[in-house]
Amino acid sequence: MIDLKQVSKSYPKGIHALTGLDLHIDDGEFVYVIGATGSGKSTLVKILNAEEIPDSGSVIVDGVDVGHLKHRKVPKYRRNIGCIFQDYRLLPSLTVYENIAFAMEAVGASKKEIKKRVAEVLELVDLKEKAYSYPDELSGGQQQRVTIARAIVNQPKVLIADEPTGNLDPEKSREIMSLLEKINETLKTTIIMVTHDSAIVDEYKKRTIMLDAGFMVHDFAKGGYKSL
Amino acid sequence: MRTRLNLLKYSIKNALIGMARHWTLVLSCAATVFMTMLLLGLFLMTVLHVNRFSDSAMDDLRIHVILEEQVEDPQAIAQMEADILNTQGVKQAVFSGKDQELELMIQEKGEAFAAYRGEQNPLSNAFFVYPEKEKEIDAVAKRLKSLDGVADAVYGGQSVGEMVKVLTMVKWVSFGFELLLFLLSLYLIYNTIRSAIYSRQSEISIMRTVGASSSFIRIPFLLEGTLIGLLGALLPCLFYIFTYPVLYQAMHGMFFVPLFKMIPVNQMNAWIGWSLLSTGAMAGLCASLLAVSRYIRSSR
Ligand SMILES: Nc1ncnc2c1ncn2[C@@H]1O[C@H](COP(=O)(O)OP(=O)(O)OP(=O)(O)O)[C@@H](O)[C@H]1O
Ligand SMILES: [Mg+2]
Repeated sequence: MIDLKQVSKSYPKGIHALTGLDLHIDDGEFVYVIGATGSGKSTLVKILNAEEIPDSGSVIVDGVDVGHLKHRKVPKYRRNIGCIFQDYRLLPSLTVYENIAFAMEAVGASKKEIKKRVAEVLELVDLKEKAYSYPDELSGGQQQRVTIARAIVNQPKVLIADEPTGNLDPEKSREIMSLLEKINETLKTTIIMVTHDSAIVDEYKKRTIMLDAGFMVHDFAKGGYKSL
Repeated sequence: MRTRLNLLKYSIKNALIGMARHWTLVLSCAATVFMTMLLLGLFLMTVLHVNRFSDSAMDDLRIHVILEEQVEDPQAIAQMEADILNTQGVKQAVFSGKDQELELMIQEKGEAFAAYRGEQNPLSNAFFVYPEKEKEIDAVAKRLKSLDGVADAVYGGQSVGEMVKVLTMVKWVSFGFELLLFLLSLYLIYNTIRSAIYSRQSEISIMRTVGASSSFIRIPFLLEGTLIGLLGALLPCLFYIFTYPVLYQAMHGMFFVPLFKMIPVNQMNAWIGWSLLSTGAMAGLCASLLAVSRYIRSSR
């Protein structure tokens, strides 16, 4: 499903964000990516998301050669990848409903389909009563749930989350985690989640990959910080 | 096909939403278009009139060809007319008999010449000849003068030649100014729309992270830009369409002298209407196209 071979990425000024990364993730897996700040976690997410182009190596996601994707082809690829960011990235001038609907409009879904599907995902993330609020009228946890709803509305095969609980208190973080687990279990969506939160990693044990200065230093099937 | 139709529908909807939710930006952009179009319209009206005045002033340029005394009988005159029309650069020739010539002279120099009416008329027959190109009037006059049977060929003289030169120059200068102003207004509109889109640059990159194609992002912005351009041009348009007839009435359809006829109301309104609206819409469209394409290209 996801296959990275010898992937390297460096930024100007000689920063090696990722070096020779080999990584294989099967369909339906739930994987944490952990590591100190600056270790290359977000860079990995951006490469998977086609936001950054790797310098070398191959990145195959669902049969698509992401490393060599043309600018024009990026949108179509992204519709198969749901993305969740720490800073939410919601359109401020659209309501919660419109924000989620936008992702479906971009695909050209019919109005009827959109209405039905958006109601479903709003139900799933438990935000029905906030459908007509604007993002700045919501709490951080609620906004994060909107981005999750938006990320899964087109039923992507892969969900990538870059510190989805980064701005949330432990209780809200648990809410998000159960939601992600639910999505992983019921929809069989592959989930890659970058996190700093050791409590979460210990509580919800998953396969855990650790980066350090751009190198992958651990890959534990059992997971948990304590086992490191 | 269905998908495309849906995409178009959403684009239009999103353009309207974008305008409604960013109405302050819309207003400030439309205000810029309004100001530039007001100026452009005023200038356009001036240029059109300058053009028309100089054209009509030049239309009036004609050469007075005085025939020799002995050219009297109709046959000779007809032959003369044919010779004149065959001369290079001649557009039209209008016969003016010796009696008519005298009347003109009486009109011009006074009743004292009335005594010459009838058999005493010392004048010769003549033609008024219109050149094809006003600028060539001098050369044409010379050619006519050299014809057999022509006593003299005169026109307004040096001063007319000068006037033609000046008017031609005025035409070009005002045309140049209009073009300059047009480019300036394009630039002004481009800048305001660009900065408006700049404040929505993050929206563009968010749209891309959700998987919206470039065209799906672009079209609403283009529609917005075009609508803003139309909106901003509409008011100046209406303003001129209502004020020009008033001005026309007040001036009795001419600019102080009958020679300078004003452009008819219908024609002027059509000109102003189409040129302002299309310029506004085009400027809005181009400005948003340039701005949005830049931001789309810069975010992957
Ligand atoms: N656009 C960029 N230009 C230059 N250097 C960059 C850029 N993005 C990231 N870097 C550098 O690359 C390295 C890896 O960054 P990355 O964002 O992947 O780290 P991270 O693991 O996500 O860190 P954090 O936990 O703080 O989010 C860092 O040294 C960072 O400074
Ligand atoms: Mg990061």
